[in-house]
Amino acid sequence: MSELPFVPPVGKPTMGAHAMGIGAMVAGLDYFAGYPITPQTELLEYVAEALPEHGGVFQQLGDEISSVMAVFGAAACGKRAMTASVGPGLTLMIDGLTNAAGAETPMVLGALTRAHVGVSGGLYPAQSDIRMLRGLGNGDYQLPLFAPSTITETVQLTAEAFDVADLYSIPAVVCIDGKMANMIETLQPFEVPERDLPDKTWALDRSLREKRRVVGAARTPELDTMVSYEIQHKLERMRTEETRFDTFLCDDAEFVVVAYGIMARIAKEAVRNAREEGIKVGLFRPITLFPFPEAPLGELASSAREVLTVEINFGQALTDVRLAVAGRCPVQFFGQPALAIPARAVLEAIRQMAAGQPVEPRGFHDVHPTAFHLADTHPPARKQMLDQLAARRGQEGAQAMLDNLLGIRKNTVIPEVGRD
Amino acid sequence: MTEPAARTPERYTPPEGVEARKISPQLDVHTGLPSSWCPGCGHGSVSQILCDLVTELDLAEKTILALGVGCGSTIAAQMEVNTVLSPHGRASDTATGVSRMAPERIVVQYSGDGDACGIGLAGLMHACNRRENFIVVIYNNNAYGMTGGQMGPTTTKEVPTTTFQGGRDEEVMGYPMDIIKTLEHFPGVVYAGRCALTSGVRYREASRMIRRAFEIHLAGVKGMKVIDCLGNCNVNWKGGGVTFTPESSNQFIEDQIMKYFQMGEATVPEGYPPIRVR
Repeated sequence: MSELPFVPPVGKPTMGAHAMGIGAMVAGLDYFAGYPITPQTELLEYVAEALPEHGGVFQQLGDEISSVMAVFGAAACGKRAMTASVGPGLTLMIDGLTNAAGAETPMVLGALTRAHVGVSGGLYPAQSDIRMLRGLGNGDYQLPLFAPSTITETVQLTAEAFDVADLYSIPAVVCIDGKMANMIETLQPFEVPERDLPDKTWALDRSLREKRRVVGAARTPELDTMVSYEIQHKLERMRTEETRFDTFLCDDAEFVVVAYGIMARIAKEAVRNAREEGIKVGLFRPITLFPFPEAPLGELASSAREVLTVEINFGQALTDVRLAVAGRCPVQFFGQPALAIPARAVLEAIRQMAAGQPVEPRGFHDVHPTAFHLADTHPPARKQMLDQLAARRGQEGAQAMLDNLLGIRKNTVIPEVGRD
Repeated sequence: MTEPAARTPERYTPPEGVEARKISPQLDVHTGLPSSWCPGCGHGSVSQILCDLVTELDLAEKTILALGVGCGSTIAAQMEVNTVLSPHGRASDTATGVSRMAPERIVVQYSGDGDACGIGLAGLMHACNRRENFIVVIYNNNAYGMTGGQMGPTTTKEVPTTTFQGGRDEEVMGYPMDIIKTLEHFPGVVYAGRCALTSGVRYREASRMIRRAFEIHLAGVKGMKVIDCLGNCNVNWKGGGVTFTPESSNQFIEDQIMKYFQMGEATVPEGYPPIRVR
C-alpha cells in the first residue's frame, strides 16, 4: 500500500520502541491498531506519524482486545498488520492471539515487557512475559517468538517477523524489554533476507468468483481437528527451519551462560571479564525463544561442565534450557523479577559456578539496594507527613498505617522487607 | 486456510435461446443448505432478507460478512459471501480492521444481542464513536440462544430465562438495554432503527429497513448503519417451565417486549423518506 518508499534511518540514533515501528515500516506495514501503555507509547507515536505518510492506516482503539481484533480483521484481508502492548495489555491480547493462530492468520505483535504480577506499581523493565507470549491462549499452539538484543536486530527481526508470519500463516511475536524499548543506539546497516512467500489466496478481499473465503477459527469439529494437526505440522517445520541462536566464545567453553534480549548483552560483558580471569565460559543466546534452539544448546551442554541461565524473571525460559540440556550437565538459574542484573553480579555468579558452588540467588536488597527500609524511599513530603503522624500515633501506628496504604500484607511479605 | 467445501458461486445460466441479461451475471448468495436454526426462529428471516438483498443488488462480490459467536454466526452456512469469523463479541472490532483495509467492500456485521450489546458493547460503541463505515444487523431475541436461553443485556422483565426464571430481576440485573437509544445520538451513526420479525408485515418493514441501510452505504454516506431486529427465541424462552410456540412467541413480542422498545427509524440521513412501521 506504500506510496512513498520508506527509508530506515540507518546511522541515526534510534530508540528501541521506534525500532519496532521502523522494522514494521520496512516490511511494508498496512495497518496498525493499538492502545497506549508504558513503555509502548513511543512506538504508537512513531507509527502514528510514519504509517499514514506511507499510505497505511493507524488507529487507536478502545482497548487492547479491540486493537488485536481489528488487526486480525486487517490481516484477514491479506494486509500486513501489527499491534503492540505491554504486560497487562498483552494479557488481554491473548484472546486475539489464540483466535488468529486458530484462524491461521498472519500478523505481528510487538511485546515490550515490564515487571511484576498484575498491574504493577513500578514500571520497571523485565523479561516477565516470555511464558505467556509463546502461546498461553486456549488450545495447542505456540507462536514464533523473537528476542532481539540490539536496536538494529530489533528492526531486522520485526521486519522478518512479518515474513515468518506470512510463511507459516501464524501470528509472530517480537519481544524486547522495557529497558531496550527506551534505549537509544545508532541504527546499523541491516539486511532482511528475501523469502519466497505464499500467495494469500485465502484473503477476504479476493474475488468471490474464484472461490469463497472464510477466515476464522470456528469451523466444523472435523475441520478444527484437522487444523489442530496442521498447526502442529507448522510448529514442527518451524522447529527445523526457523530456530535461531548466537554463540560467543563457546568453542572451548566448560561453562555456558544462557541469556537472551537485554540480559544477553550484559552477560556478554560478564563472560568477557570471566575469560580474562581464566574461566572458560561462553555465552549462548537464543534469538528465537520459540522455536527454542534445543539441539545446539544440548550439543554445547554435552561438552560443558555446567549451564547457567540468566533472566530478568524467575526462570520463564529455564524449562526450555533444562529440556535442551536434558541432564547432560547441571543447570543453575540466576535471576530477579525486575530491572537488569548488573554485569558484575553475573560475573560473580559465573565465578561461583566455576568454583563448583551453588549460585547465590538474587534477593530483594540486590534489586533495590537503596530501599533497605521502605520508609527510606519516601519523598520528602511524604516523610514529613509520616513524622507528623508518628508524633500523634507513635512510630508503630504510623508504620502500620503506611503499610496499609501501600497494600503490604505483613503476613505474606518476607520479614526483612518491612521494618527493622 | 482450510475452507468449507463451497459450491461454485457462478450459478446463473440464462435459459436456452435467451441472451444473458447482464454482462456480469448476478451471483446467487443463497447456499440453499438446510439451516441449523430452530423452527420459527427469526434468524432465518434475517438471513433470507440479507441473501435476497445481496443477490438482488448484485453485491455478492462486494459484501464481506463479519460474524461473532452465537446462533447468528451460522448464517455463514446460508449466505455464500466472503466471511470472517471472530470470537464472541469481537465482530465490531474485526469489521473495523476489514472495512479499513477493504474500503471498497460492504462489511456487514451480523450479531446477536449478547454478542453486540453484552460482551461486544464496548467495541460496537467505539466503532460508532470512531465513525467506522459498516452495517450492523443485530438479531435481538432477548436471550442467549446458543447456550440455552440465559438472560441477556436486552432481556425484558417478562421473558422467562433459565438464569432468571421468574423474569428479569430488576433489583439485581437492572433494566433491558435499548441499543438503538444508546447509539442513535453518536455523530458516527448515520442510520439507526428497529424492526421486528413477528409477522409478514413486520418482515416487509424489516426488509425495507435493511435495504435502506445498504442504499445509504452504497450512496457513499460514511458512518455506522445499525439495525436492531426484534425476534423470538421460542425454543429457549423456557425458564420456569413456560413454553412457547413460534406463533405465541411472536405475539409475546408484540404484546410484551415492544412495550420497552421504540420501533422504527431513529436516525436517518437527510433526503431519505421515512419508512413507516406499525
